[in-house]
Amino acid sequence: MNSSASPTPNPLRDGLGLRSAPQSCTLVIFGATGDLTHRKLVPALYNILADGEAPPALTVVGFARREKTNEIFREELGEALKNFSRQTVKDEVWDHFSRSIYYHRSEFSEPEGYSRLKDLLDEIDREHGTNGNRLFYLAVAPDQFGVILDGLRAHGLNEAKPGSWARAIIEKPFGIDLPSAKELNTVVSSAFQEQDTYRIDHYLGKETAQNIMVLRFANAIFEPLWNHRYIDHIQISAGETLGVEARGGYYDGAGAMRDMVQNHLLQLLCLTCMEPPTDLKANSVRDEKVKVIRSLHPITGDDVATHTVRGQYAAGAIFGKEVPAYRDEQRVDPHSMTETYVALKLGIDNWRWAGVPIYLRVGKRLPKSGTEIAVHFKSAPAVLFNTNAPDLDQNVLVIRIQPDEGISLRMQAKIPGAAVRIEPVKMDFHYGTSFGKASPEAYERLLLDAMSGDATLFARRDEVEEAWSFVDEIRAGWDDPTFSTPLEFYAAGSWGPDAADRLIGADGRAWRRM
Amino acid sequence: MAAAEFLAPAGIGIEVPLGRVDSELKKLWKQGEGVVTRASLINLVIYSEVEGSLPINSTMAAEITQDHACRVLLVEAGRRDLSAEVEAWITAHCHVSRAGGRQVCCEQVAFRVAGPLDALTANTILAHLDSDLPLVLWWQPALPTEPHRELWSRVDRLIFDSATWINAGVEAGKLRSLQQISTHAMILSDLNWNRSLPLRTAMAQLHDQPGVACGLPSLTNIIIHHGTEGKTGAQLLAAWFARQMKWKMKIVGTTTALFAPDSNIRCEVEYIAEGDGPHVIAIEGRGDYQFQVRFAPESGLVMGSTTLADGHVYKVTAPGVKMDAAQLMGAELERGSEHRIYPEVLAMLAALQN
Repeated sequence: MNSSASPTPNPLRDGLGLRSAPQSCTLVIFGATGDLTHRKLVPALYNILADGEAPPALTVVGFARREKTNEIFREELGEALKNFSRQTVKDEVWDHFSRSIYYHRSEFSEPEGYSRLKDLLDEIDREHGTNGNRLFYLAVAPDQFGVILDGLRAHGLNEAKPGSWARAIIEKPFGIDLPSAKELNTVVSSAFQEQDTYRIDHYLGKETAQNIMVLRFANAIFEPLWNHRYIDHIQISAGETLGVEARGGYYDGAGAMRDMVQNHLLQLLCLTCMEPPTDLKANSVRDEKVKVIRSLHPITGDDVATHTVRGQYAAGAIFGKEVPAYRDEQRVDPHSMTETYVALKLGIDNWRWAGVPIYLRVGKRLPKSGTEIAVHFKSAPAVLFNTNAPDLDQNVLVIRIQPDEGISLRMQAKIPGAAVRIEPVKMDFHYGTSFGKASPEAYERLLLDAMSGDATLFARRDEVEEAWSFVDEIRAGWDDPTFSTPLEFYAAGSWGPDAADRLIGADGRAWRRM
Repeated sequence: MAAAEFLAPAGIGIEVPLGRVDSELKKLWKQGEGVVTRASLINLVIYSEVEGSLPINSTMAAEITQDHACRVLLVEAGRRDLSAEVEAWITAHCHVSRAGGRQVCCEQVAFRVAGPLDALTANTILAHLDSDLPLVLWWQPALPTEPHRELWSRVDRLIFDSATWINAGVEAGKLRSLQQISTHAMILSDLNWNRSLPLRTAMAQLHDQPGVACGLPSLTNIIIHHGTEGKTGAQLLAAWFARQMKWKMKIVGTTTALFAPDSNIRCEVEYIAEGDGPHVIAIEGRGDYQFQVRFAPESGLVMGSTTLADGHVYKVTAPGVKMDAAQLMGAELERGSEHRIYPEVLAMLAALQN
């Protein structure tokens, strides 16, 4: 095992950038013929290069089972790049980059394959100057992690040479529950130290997710109000119009809780509710995030029925087109009890958030796609304007994560006229309108960070395990016949089961109309 | 007719009386109501004293606003043939937003002013700024010796171009005076400094390789190739290199030399003019260690390479040099932050040219 090497000082680097420079390396992608490589990874690497952000030497080795030559692999990636790159592909840049891409055919379980990989990487180091730095990207199902990491360890590929580094990037899902996550983490840690392990949650690479910290800690007007004295409740919503598409096989074993809540939504919750970190170093930020998960009030016993709703979409219509029920989707068990919708009422047991409910909802086949965080402030008393009226509408700060990234603030305004009539108005900031240039894709930022040794936007082992521990208790409650938490059905194209409305309605509140 | 066509009349727009600029702008926006979004993150004032500069600067503003939402104020000062003291035109630059097909428009007001920058011009500019937004002033003529305090005190970022400077010492003095007037910690943005950014970035990338940067102290010659108007840019690049290496810069006879104060290191700088324009085209280092970084116009990229003593060849490819002023401005607004190194580099150049 190794610890990350410190970068070589270069006097010319001073003052050129605001972030640490990525270091020359070879990215070895396991599962290189898959969708992720074609749609996300290679376009991200190309854009990094085209924007001048790449390290001086960057090479890619695709490790996969299919028979293929370097030339065919490059050609396929070049074709995919034209479809998936966020900027127009320049032939000169692609020609330069494609010469640094290699294909390595092997079974994941074939020892000889790793021996040949080692030779290839040494040759690449000599030819391209990648200095023995290796970034192993496991773009495969978790059940393949063990065999791949064993292969790397058996051939010493997990150990960096002096002055170099070896890191592993792991794609979610990080397990299916706490025991499997622990087992997976044990497998990974047998080959790579925690500081060299980068667990990707692409939500954290999104510009708006990163902007949550800036919004909270760089604007003096918000932080003083960011607590139980001024905030009534928070809603975090992630909806999509899509069904399970081609992922039926995977999704039916996972469900919305594992697929979205355990990772993406809890990460957004952490960024929204954490205390200010002492600095922006990876562990400082991650320490604060994990404290939020540890402070979540456990949902057990009777609370499972009153604080959670699980649903599954039935047949319905999306954009005027009829769509099948979940159970009729391809590779889905016709009697499946897997949830495609989850609504939760959470509480954080700490000084800042005592008594502030946080409502989470996530679902497939909803009327609109979008992820957002809505912070509802307590209402101002209406005594001045109309003593007979209930409290005024709440001020709501909405952080839109995707699509149409931006921030809006709802406030009250007087309608012109002789009478004092008050209506809510919205101040709206759209990234796409204010900043013409497209934001980098999440994978661009995350790959650069991994090349620079910055793990701030990656999930740490304890974050992942604490999150599993929290959702496992809910899942255990769902499976326990003592508590009544039936799977609720909702029509595709609706905003989820009625039970979700009752969950929030019981507190005198309602879900935001997205 | 699409809403954006109402909003963006051809050329510099519709002529309006100075006192009616705001109300005419409101009318203009009304035509696009519900269809277009008005966007503005900064006030961008482009000031010129060249006759006929308004349409040229308007074209550049159209390009800049594609990526950077601004309220644009164009000023062409120094005209003596005007019927009024100030003539004004309004228009908007529109483009389709990347956030879903909506038209995003930035308004532009163009002024033609009789006489140089004085109280009248300053008032015209100040009266038409969007409140609370930063003021970015792109000052195209020579830096003023008698700046208008009211205007300059409100500038957040000053954009200028040192390519035409003859005496950097004098100009640096003017910049210091302007910064003293500013109440907003005015940031200096030299377009000429930005021209060499791709070369500096490629040089840094090339020397990120372990074992490469250690060759730099053994350089005996630096050769900088530049366009015929690019000498100052080339000198800025040499000064930057000296600053990064913690070397001194001095003229010895007719040669610029770089010294390491505490050793025998002496590196001579040679400037070679080739081609037109204000750009720095290439930089070569020679001696026991050698490197080269060159802009390749045919590919639009900057290519760098070095060969180490053991025969290793390292290469880098980086995005190319921004060729025109609008591109340079766009890059500057995108980068945004202050240029921490620039004042030190400018001071070295000023000492050299004084």
